[in-house]
Amino acid sequence: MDHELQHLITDAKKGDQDSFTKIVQKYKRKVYRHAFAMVHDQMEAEDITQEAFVKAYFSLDQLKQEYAFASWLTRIVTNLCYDRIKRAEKTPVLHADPAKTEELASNRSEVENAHLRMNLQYAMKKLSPEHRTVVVLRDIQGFSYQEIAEILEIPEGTVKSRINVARTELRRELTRGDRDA
Amino acid sequence: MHDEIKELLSAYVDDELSRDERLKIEVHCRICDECRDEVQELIELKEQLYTAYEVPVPEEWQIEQAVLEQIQGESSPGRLLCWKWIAAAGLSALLIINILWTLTPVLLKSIQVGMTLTSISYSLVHSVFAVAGGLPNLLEVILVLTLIILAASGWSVRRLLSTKTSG
Ligand SMILES: [Zn+2]
Repeated sequence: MDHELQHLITDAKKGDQDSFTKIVQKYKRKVYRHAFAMVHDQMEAEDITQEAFVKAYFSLDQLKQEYAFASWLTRIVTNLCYDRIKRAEKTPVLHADPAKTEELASNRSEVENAHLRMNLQYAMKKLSPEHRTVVVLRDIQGFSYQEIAEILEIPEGTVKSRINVARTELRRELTRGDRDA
Repeated sequence: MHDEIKELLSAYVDDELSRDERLKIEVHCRICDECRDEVQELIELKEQLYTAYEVPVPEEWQIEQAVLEQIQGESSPGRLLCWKWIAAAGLSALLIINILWTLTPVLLKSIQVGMTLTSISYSLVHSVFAVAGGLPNLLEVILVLTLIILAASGWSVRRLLSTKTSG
């Protein structure tokens, strides 16, 4: 944890909104990526990101250890994603995902990469929110098992087995996708 | 042995195993093709996951601005307390009207009582004045002055009350 961030958090706690804006700048990519990997929808990921930062701002005084800011923020994002997913399960919506992915492919002109990305995102969507979360925290956000255990408030052993199960399911889904294609 | 090792491979590629466990896996992988391949696949999966979600942040997205606006909106009393204030003001207005409504007869009565009391004291003063007629001069002057003051105050009180009831 760098000193600059520590200062920013201390100032933001006192209500300095400029400092908080800098924190948003620093963490927006991480939060957006996390949210996107959970909900696979740009608009929704944007909404979650905004909600997470607003929530963080108003509960900053609950953050006791400033060095734990990243974990603390990640917990907020995780819970918001769970809420959204639960709500979405109750009201299913049709996503026009293939078109979006195609567009992405032609823009990047990396058809193969885009194909893999599409398959992976498809496989991720099939995981339960709990399994998806541990994969996001480990492989996209790079948290250690211990940090994940603290963020999710579950034992480290559970983190370990959850990641194992999630990866097994992902690989099964990916090989099935390859067979079908 | 193989099954036991297989369960640990995921944690192995995350570098989350003890030194002993790690060694056990490395020794096993020398003789087991399946586990060796799986380690390779798991490493690839991790990398692919990372790149699959290296999604760019939307270009036109003004997240800092949006967050700031929402924070300011929610922390200014204008929005956060707006409804509470309106509700509180409405409720107290109702309460005051209610109190006035129930108290109006009482108030009118008390004004009437006040007026009667004033007129009684007025006539009392008159009789005192008449009694004092027989007393020596100095006392008479004091009494007259007192009576004038009393009468003046009585008159003004009555005037005040009458303007209140008529207005
Ligand atoms: Zn083996």
